[in-house]
Amino acid sequence: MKIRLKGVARMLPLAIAAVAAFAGSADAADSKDPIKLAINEWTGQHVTTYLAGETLKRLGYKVEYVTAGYLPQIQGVMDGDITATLEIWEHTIQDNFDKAIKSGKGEDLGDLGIKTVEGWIYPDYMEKECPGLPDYKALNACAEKFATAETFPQGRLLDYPADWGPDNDKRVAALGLNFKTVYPGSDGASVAEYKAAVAAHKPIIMMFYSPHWLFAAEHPKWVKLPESTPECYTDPKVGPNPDATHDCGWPNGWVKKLGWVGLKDKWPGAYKMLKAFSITTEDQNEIALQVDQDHVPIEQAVSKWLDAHPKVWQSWKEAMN
Amino acid sequence: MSVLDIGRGEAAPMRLRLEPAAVVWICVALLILWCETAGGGVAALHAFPKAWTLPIATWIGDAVAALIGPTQGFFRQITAALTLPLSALQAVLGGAPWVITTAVAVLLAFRAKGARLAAFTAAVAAYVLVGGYWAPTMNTLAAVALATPIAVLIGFGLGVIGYRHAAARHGILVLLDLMQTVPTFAYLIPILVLFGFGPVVGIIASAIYAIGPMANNTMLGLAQVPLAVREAGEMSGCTRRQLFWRVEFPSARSQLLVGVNQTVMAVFAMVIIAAVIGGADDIGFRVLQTMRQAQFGQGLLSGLVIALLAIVIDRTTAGFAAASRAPVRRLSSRTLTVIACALAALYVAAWLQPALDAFPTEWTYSPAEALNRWLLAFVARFGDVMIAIKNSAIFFLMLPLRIGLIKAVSPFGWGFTLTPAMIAGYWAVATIAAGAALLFGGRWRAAFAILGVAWMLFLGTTGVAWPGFVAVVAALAWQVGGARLGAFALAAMAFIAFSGSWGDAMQSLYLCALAVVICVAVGGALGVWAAENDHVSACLRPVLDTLQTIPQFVLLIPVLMLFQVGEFTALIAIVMYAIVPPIRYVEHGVRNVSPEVVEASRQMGCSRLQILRHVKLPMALPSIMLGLNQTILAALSMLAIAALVGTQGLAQAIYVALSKADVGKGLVAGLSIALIAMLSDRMLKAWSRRAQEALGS
Repeated sequence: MKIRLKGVARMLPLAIAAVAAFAGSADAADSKDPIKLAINEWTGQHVTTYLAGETLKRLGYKVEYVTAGYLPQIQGVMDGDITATLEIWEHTIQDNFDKAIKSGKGEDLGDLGIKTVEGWIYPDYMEKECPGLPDYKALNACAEKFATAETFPQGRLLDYPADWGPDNDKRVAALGLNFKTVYPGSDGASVAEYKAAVAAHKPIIMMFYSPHWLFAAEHPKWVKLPESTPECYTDPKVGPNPDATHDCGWPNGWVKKLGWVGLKDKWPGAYKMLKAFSITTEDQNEIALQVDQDHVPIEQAVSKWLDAHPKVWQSWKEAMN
Repeated sequence: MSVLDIGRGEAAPMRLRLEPAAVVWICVALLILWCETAGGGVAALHAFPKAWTLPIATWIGDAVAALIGPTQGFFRQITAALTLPLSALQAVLGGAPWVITTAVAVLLAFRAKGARLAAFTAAVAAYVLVGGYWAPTMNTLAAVALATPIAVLIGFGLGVIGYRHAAARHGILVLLDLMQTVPTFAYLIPILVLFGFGPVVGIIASAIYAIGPMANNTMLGLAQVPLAVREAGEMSGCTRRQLFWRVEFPSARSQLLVGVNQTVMAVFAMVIIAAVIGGADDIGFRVLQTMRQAQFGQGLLSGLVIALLAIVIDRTTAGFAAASRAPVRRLSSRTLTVIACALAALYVAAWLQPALDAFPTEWTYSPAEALNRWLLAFVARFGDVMIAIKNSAIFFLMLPLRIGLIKAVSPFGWGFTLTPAMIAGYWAVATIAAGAALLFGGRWRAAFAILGVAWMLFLGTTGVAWPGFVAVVAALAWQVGGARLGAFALAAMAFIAFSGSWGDAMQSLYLCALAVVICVAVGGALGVWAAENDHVSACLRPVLDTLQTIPQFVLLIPVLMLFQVGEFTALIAIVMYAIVPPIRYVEHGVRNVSPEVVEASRQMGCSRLQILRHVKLPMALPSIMLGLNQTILAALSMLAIAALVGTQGLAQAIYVALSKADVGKGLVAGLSIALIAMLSDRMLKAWSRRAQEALGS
């Protein structure tokens, strides 16, 4: 015991010195405390966060990356334990996001710029099995091919996790499809099943979203659904089925940045930078692919990208003035 | 526990109760008969009417919200107070050169249990280093190091209070049960709002979960202090305080250390689950990340880190606990000096040679991608076989239990539909079997059991009339545990029904019940085999250790890839986790049957099978019952995790509530799971007590 304590005593000053040596300098008006950015569970989000974080570091801020559960992070932002989280997807934890804004403790920092596409995906070999795809009208004829023991004779549509509040049951009914929706319990479950289906060359159709690394890895195809309009969701007459709403695809969703309400006063410069911060789906995919497939460390991949695109991050910097 | 139950165990001999009990069961049977025939078309008898439900979730949500406002400041101060020691621990563990940390761990292992454990510890450290998991592992250890003393201190305090004051004991026991059976996810949101975001919240959640074993062992240890010892203390004129610290505490010491061991293990298991909150880049978060990306290889490798660490910590603390029974061998000051010098030398070496300080990343190696490819190849090769297995399980086992034979038997699965003649035949067979049990064996309990199972299978857990189900459970509880248990059963079911969770609860119940039956059948057989065969036992042990300690998330991915999203996957995942206790307890029970008795029956000419059937198994019954109890608790706790692969029922309700930030709904579903767990626990304990009395032990 004694020995261990001695070791502790020896190490503690080192640890403190290491922290102290790290102090940098940002704008005079900005606090010297580190800005804490949330790291969630998927690579695309890591890329987004490191792009913002490494830029802030180049501008003289101290940045700390804090791993955070997608849902619990909202509480962290409301309390200021997390300064900002940069990828809140519409249709996922929107209720919690709205609560944070309404409480006055969280601030909507605007759109990230990523375009999200949602819809039903399938592996390309299904076009041979089910001629007529990607048109959704082809699905009814081969519903039994997509069926499993639990859903037979209906086809099986793997939906979003139930807690994301998906509306595919309405859509399937409105489009007159002979399919049954099945909820996976989590995002990872969907991905695992898709990977397994492709490996075994089995039929699968599931609700999914882009950008996601699955598109780079497996090249799934989208089912073509009737075009989405706001009226399709409110007016039964719009869309192919005159008696039902939801007879169309999805509108493109937003991805938003959420900040702690105190960000504006504590780090005014960083606040402006984060509000201006936006990226494109292509840029995110490009970096995420390097990280996931070539195993480039994320800091390195992001730094390289920032070096190659000075104009982009300079434009975020200019927003600070 | 048995000591604490004094005063409740003096049930009257069974025969005296036989008459009123039989009458009650006849009434229950008549009620069911009426519900399913005359009331067959009445929807209100089959699905609990929505109009009757009370807004309990809203009440709980409002109550929690009202509570949080004024108390939040206080809880935030606790968080602040814990943040400092946590960062210090993280800095020390994360900052120390790996050679030093490894050397200290190996020395501790050696001191606890000798060279073998020390070698194993060194191997584990090598695995962690080469796998590239050192930094997150240290963060996890920091969390465990902080949560354990908190849980130990609070648990010890609660245990002492419970031991001293009989009035408080009952309340404490209920509290402990709730802490261990309400799934963490259910109270995640209120705990987040109270304590704020960060790794401290995970530590608090883990500590809450781990208080139970410490408190239970404290009560047990103190209650086991021999009266003679206590009296000797009193005779020699001890004050109350002296009596406690000088007499009772030392006598209970080894049991207390068992409590510490169990507390560390509980903390360890929970720290991983609490990683969903995030805040520190710990190994739990890594596992979670692999789950989300469906990376089996990475998940297995990082999950193994946890399993291996848990084994090292378990063996080390258990070693110290066992050593405390023997007189303490103090290390000579010379040995201490040598160790200190060696560590100092290592520290200097690490300072001179950076590779000894931070493990170079070029030295790490991960076979994760190879594992992933292997799994996908397996899926591609055996996918059809797996689907066939799944389909038959669903058609012939799961669907009948959930929706009943009447709906499950369809041309798609079975090749035919039930005709009225078949239904009549089914009931005729059931009735004849029940009648035979009654007439020839005089066993009216068996007769009712046969009819009950026939009823359950015919309509399924989600199809049976709820008043009938309530009556069966309440009557069963009353019969094994008396009026109080019966009342508890009624209250628990009333809570579930009136809070609107009846349908969800029946969905969860069918899945858990099936999992428990499979675990007991397969696990019990394996346990007996392991008890009779040392090789089997030696082979099973590491597998069981791994299954029990590896984060449950890790098991989900391969099962999911083989069997797709759905309840069969959840069933397999639950079975994989809950099969450990029956194997362990059955083996332990059968092995510990007194050798004299076994020898005596051998000399009387019993065959090996006869000894097993008539001597060993009956005598191992208390241990087997304990195993059954643990199996049910394990299945219910795994249910919360298995919801991640798509189940319906209470656990899924918790997830949905979580994402909607609906505190009330989450807690209602969590409490419902806890009530089911507590009810089955109480009923089994009561039953086991009666069985033991009947055995005369």
